[in-house]
Amino acid sequence: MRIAAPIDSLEEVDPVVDAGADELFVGVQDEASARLLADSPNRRYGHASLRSFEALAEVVRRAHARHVEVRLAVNNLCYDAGGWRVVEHQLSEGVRAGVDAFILADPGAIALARGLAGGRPLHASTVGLCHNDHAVAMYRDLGATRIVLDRHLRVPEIRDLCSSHPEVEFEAFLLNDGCYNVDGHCWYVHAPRFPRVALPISADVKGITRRLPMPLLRHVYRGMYPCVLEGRRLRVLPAGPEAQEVERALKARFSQEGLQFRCGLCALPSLIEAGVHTVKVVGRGYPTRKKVMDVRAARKSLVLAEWGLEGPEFFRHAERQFERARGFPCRRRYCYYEAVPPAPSTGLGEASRKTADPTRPPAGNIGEEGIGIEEYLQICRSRKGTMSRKAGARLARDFARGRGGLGGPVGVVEIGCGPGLLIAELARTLRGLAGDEGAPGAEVRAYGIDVDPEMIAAARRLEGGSGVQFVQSLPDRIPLPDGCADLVVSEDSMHHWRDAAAMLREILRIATPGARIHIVDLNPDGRLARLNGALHSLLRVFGLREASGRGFVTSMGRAFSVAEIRALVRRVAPGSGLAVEGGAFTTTLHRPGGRG
Amino acid sequence: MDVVLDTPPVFQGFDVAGTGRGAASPAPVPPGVQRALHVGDLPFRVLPSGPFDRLYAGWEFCAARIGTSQRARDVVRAAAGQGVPVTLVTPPTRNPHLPLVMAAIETFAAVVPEGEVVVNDWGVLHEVRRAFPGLARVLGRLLFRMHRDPASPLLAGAAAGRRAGGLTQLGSPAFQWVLQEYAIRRVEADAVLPEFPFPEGCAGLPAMSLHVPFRYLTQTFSCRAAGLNRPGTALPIDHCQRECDGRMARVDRRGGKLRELHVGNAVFLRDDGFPSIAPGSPIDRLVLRRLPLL
Repeated sequence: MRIAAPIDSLEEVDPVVDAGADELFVGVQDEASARLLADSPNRRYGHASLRSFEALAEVVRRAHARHVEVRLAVNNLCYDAGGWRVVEHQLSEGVRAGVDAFILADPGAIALARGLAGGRPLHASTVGLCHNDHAVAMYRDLGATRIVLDRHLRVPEIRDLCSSHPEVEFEAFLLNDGCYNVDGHCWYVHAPRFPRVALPISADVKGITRRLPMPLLRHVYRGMYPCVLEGRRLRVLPAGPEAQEVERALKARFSQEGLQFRCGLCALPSLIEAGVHTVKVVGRGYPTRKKVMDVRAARKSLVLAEWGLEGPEFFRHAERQFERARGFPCRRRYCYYEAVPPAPSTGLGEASRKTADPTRPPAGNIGEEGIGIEEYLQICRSRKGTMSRKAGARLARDFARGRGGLGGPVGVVEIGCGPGLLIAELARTLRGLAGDEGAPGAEVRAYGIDVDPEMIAAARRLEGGSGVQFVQSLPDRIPLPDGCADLVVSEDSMHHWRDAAAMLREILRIATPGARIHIVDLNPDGRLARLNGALHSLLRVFGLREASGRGFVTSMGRAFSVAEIRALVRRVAPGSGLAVEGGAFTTTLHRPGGRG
Repeated sequence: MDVVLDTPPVFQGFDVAGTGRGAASPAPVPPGVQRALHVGDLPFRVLPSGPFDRLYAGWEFCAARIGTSQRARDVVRAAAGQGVPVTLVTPPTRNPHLPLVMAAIETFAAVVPEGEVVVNDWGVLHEVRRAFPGLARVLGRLLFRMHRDPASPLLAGAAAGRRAGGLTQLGSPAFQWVLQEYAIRRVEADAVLPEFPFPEGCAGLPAMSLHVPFRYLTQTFSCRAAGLNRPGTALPIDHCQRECDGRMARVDRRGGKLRELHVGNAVFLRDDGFPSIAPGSPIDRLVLRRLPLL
């Protein structure tokens, strides 16, 4: 299953991709489009779109460099004569900019766009109103390759559509707004509640909302509700405590009513099992932080779902992700989909298997919220580098002690080696220990594995003389033969693994039966880690430790908790002897090993 | 002449709109303009005696109201037996309710082989063309896209004489393609302005109907007003007890200038202004409602 996410600017590409998006969708409102759409109450405001097709081309270049696709949204609610000229203009410019697909809103638009989209796939927007089998057949016959499902479909209905139309990709909503009006059937004007006049909202009036804190943002977008009964009339309440109270009451009454920021994370296992191709996190026009938090929550939950977690166990993790993303507890009031029976599958869903892109590298340190390779190396040259070398030496000594000596060839592998400091020191120490033991001929075969070519290049530059082979890998795949490693280590890289389950299987594959395994990562619940995160955040406010702070905070957001890693081991590697221990700063996934 | 229908009971203090004053009355209409009465699926035992040229029966917004295939057939047969031409109105539908909708259409096609069927769902339109090619296909209000909220600056601008053609999709080649591909005979629309905002120089328009006085504004996932008295957290729309027959809520927006009526899963705006229809206009039918029905 893939995750589609919105962006409004070039600057948002990297953070949203780092957070876990597989594809991006974007709108463009250049001068020509704005002129033709003047005064149109399109729900997409100026700030929710790129301002030019040159900017779109840049976005596409940046996204493609990260193996992420870009879709151009051309799904106006009402294509009038001028609006259709905008569509034609956007299709031709979109093709020129290199977008991967177009999103359109109704059958006529899709039928006519076939000749204008340069062979790009056409996706039917949720505004296209595809409710049932016959509508899917209609859009498919017209040439749509993907259908964005209506927000109000239930999981069993989605499952029904997916199974009846395997030739079509289906996209379902996740973490969307809570508006309960039906997209494509709604003609409300989403003007801000203040001031109460008809505003020319195609102007950037709503641009101000980008800077509002989340609680305020929710109220600006609320729309017309809630209301109270006064005598014989309902009165719409202005935003305020009274409105909140009524809203809470409504939420308690309707499971799909009157909510802002609905979730849907709990339904992920069911959506995977149903065969949904993509989940769509929406939010064009929202602050970057919301997009990143939402995508991160979706990615994390998707990983857990693909590990095979389901039922109450998965719900607990999903609730945790919700709270991290939203900042307030779940309480099951924000459900996008009705409670659904747990998915029967226990592993990766078919949709995940068939859509996973094995060539796409996962998010790494480079590019992570703007950290460049030089910045990262600078961090490594300081205290982190020293710590890595010390850790390498310590691991080597522990390994030698655990084996009771270093006779014979030894294979050591570091997963996510970065600039190679740890594995190089580990290899040097092992060779030194072998010499001390009077076995100078003991062969130490050391490999540093990383998905990032820049990291591999840096490692070769910095530690090329260490005798370590630095190898670039594909995500979720280690390019080494079975049973080649007596020691597998990984420090602070697990949170970058795109598919932790696949990586763990790979690690067990390359490890000898008695190999020692030592994987350490940040513990997002550890007291010291949290304290450090808070400190970094504080330092960033004052412009200090900017790069490392960004990296640390991002890594904390991605890291798995002790409970999640235990669940991973239970599902993927039962009986492997791996133990999980949570510390104040890190979590350790460990197997002592011995002579195999 | 007044329209007489079974009026649903007032529900626990909710203001039921349209109980008398300002109800759609048979004002004079230009020659050649038909007057149709939309009765939804209300009981047909008390029908208006006025000069209506056509009856609209069925379900425009909610497939859950249909209930059973048998009821779908009963409503269609009852409507067809009233002695005036009948237009069957069909709602947007998800898979669970699709058989009910198709049962209604099948019955209608059997009773009135060349009758008019209003479709509010792309899938239903696709299927009707395939399975019932003899029926005249009418594009319903839910599929005909036009700006309807008076809060829309575009609408306000059009009222002032600017960009009227931008209010609807009539001038769009994409819409023209739908009209031709699916051989749409008629389009159902709302009277948003005193004069309908046709785009300039747009030829080949189909016949059109205007619905008065309840302008459709939005559709919701569940029955908001009707569900207010439903205990628990069940979704009313999937456990339909037809509360919308008698439970509506009125919400006054903008200081009472806009009267919103929340009925089941739809929201309407009450607009008592009667549209002006120019001679030669594609508009050749007014669809009147006493109550906003689903």
